[in-house]
Amino acid sequence: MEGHNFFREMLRSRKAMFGVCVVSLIVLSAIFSPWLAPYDPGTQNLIGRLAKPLATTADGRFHLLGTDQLGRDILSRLIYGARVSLLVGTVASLIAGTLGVTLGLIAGYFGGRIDAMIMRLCDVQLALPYILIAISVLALLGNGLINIIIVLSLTQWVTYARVVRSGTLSVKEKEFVLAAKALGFGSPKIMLRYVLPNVFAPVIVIATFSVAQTIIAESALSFLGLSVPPSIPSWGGMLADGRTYLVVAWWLATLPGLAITFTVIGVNLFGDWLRDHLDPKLQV
Amino acid sequence: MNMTDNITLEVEDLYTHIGVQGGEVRGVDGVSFVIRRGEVFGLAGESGSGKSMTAFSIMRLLPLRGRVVQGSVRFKGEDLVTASAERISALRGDRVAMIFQDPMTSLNPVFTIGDQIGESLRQHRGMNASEARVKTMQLLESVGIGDADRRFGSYPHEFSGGMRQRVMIAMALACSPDLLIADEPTTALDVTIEKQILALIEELRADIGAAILLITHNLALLAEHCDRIAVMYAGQIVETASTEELLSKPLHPYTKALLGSMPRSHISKGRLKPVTGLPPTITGERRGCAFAPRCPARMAHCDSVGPLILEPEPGHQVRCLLFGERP
Amino acid sequence: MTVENSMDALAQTPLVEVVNLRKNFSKRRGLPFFGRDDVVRAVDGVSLKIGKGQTLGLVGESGSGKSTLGRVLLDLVPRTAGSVLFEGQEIGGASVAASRALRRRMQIVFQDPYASLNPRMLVGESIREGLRAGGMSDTAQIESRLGELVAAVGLGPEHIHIYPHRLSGGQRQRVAIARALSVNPSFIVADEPVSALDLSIQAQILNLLADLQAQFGLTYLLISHDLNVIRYLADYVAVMYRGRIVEEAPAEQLFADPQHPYTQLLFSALPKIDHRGKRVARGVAASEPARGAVPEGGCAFYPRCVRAVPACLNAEPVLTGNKHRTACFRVGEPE
Repeated sequence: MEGHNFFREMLRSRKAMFGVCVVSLIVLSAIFSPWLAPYDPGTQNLIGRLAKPLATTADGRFHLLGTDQLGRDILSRLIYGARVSLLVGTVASLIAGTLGVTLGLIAGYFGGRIDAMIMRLCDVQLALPYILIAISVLALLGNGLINIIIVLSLTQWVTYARVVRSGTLSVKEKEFVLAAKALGFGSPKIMLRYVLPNVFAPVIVIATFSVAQTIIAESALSFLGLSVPPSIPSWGGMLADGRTYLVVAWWLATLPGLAITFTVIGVNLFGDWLRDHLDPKLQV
Repeated sequence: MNMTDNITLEVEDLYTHIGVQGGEVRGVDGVSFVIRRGEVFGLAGESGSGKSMTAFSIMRLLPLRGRVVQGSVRFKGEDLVTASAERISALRGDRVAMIFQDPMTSLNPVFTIGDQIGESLRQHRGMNASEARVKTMQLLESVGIGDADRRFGSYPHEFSGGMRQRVMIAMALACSPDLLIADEPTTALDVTIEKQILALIEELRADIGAAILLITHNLALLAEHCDRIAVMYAGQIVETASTEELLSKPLHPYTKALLGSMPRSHISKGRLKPVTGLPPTITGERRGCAFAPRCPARMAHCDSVGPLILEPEPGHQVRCLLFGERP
Repeated sequence: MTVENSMDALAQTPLVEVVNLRKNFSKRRGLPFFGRDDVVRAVDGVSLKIGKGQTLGLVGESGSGKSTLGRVLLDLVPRTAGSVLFEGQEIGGASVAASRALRRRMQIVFQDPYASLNPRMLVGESIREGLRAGGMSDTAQIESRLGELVAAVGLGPEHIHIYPHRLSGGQRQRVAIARALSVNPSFIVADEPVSALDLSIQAQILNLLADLQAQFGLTYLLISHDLNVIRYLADYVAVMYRGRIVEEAPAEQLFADPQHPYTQLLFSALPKIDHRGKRVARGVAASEPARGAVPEGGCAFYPRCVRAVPACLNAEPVLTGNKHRTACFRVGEPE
């Protein structure tokens, strides 16, 4: 019954629908890249380099969004680039979420020294700008998709932890938790079955924002050349490459920039709507 | 002197609807009563009966989704339902005041209490800061908050519940209103503090001659302080009478059931006679008597015929088919 | 239950006994390393005995510590000092498993029906949790017992597969009672079980509690600020003020002849519906004392007491008396 209402509400909201559409588009692009992309993203074609959008190159290839400095089709690169952004965004958020929620639960539930330690860990984490952490860790571990994901999850977990901790602090004093204690249940069971489900709503909302942030972060790292190797198309990498050509071929940088922007807006709008519709109803 | 000069508040046929998901709830469903000058009028009812909604309707403090759809609320002859927003603002806090249930949340935590009490005075009486301060100190003394000088600059969180309620009373009575509406003023307080607060209200009322609309589910409280009591159920008033009459000769089955279900400290371990079932929320068309499903005296046609208000004895009104169908 | 019976019950080992229980809450004031600790003695040396099948009513206002006492009794909140004995055995002493088993014999029903059920758990599931905690594992057995419990508290099968927010306050309270019963406890702490409910529902729940007590031979600690509620269910009454028991007596005696000035104040403050519209002057007592005004080493009730004399500040009064015990220096003395 609640589920049906939820979907109906979602369909009714323009905000939510925009967000959902954008996100779906990105996801579908990422999954069906080989079928959607008109050309292979890595194929260079120096004859048709820097072709304008909607142009047909001298050798008869039509490029909806033009080509870059190596003649690679921008549309195809955008489509394939969605994979990197999406993969990094979701996996990093997932890892960060799991880590953050666990630590937050433990900190909030047990309090005392454990809480203090975990909170200090958060403080340390927050005090360091993520770029620095990213550069340092990547310098240590080297480039690569997995490393990027690790680094970005490290930067994201703190928000989850704090929100869950604060929720736990208020929920653990509620009578139904005491009742569970009276029934003789141990802490792990109480934390998992009684506390967690009741502090989880904001986590979903954070997750959507977190995905957006991670995508931007990955793009920034790409831009700095710290992300995936240049052979794999990524929006940030495209941005970086396109920088030098901004005056002559604006579409090189602008289009991936727009892709990032729309993705982030879409995800944020959806998260916004989620927050409005999940939190009050599920508030304990 | 005209009889109507004596009437402070006359509510007639008041209907208030509240929008909810999928329709409207009839929070107040045809309420009429009269409060005379200097009278203490009690409005009794459980949650969902519409008593608070009635108060908010009178003060035009309804939530966004609530609106008065019909009826009039005449305050000293002037209809509050149709009055302009400016007029209502001018009246609120000055001639009609309200105190609320939860003193914890009714006071603004970021302003001192001196500030908050003085606000009424500055707004409605045009006092400047020093005049307001003088009067505020007097008010604080009169509500029993000693050390007024120091308390003036204190913040709400520095006070206990009972003290905060006293502050609320001071705010409400600052401009000597003609009508004070008290919505569950002592429900959140201990019984010993409750006693003091009500004594205070009564004392001050006597001083300024205000009428009081006292709203609470606590029948015993109403018994002790009110001149007349109206009992509400599902948005309607089901019985109105003087306190004496209502307690000694209750007519409506709901009133009787309520009185019978109260544990009394002088009756030991008998069996309480509870009212079975749950109070309803009214949506859609009302068919018949709202209390019929739970009524021990229910008759065949109670489900289809909506009872009108009758007056079987002078001054004692009841809405029940047991007493006939036509006024 | 007559006075004599209740005394006999006490003569045997009481089912639940509390000896000199203390619970302090400390609040750090001032800077992290340099501040002091403000100590609030929520439960300040309370001793009680509750006999099997009895109901002990604990009366007190906010700040009296009565709710804290209920929770400390069940070890839901760790105590600062003192012992809690169930059937003569200290509940905290044994091994973790043993003490958990012991604790299941003591259950609690809370005041707020909206916070006492897990909002993310189906009603039936909340009760099943209890059944499983008690060791039941056979699904068929669990379902059948679930059905019995639900019926016993006056609900129907249609209430099992829904979430708590669909139920009214009274219905949730019934579910909370069913959950408490699911582990077959001998002792239930009812902490303001009806305060948050409408008048007409209060009566239903009180009747239910009385019926269940008779049916299952339960022992209750009934905590309430409402003397009327206490009167309805209690055999024996203890009055609590600021962490201490100031008077205790068999119910009839307390209601007939309250001796402690605070008890008398509570009685006089009670609005009496039987006064039928006569404005009974309830006698104004002194207002609440400012925080910190409670004297050290003397009687805590001194600032509000109409019978106080300077001698009351010299020492803390202790409970004296035989069946009807009062902690007051002035008891028995003329005004």
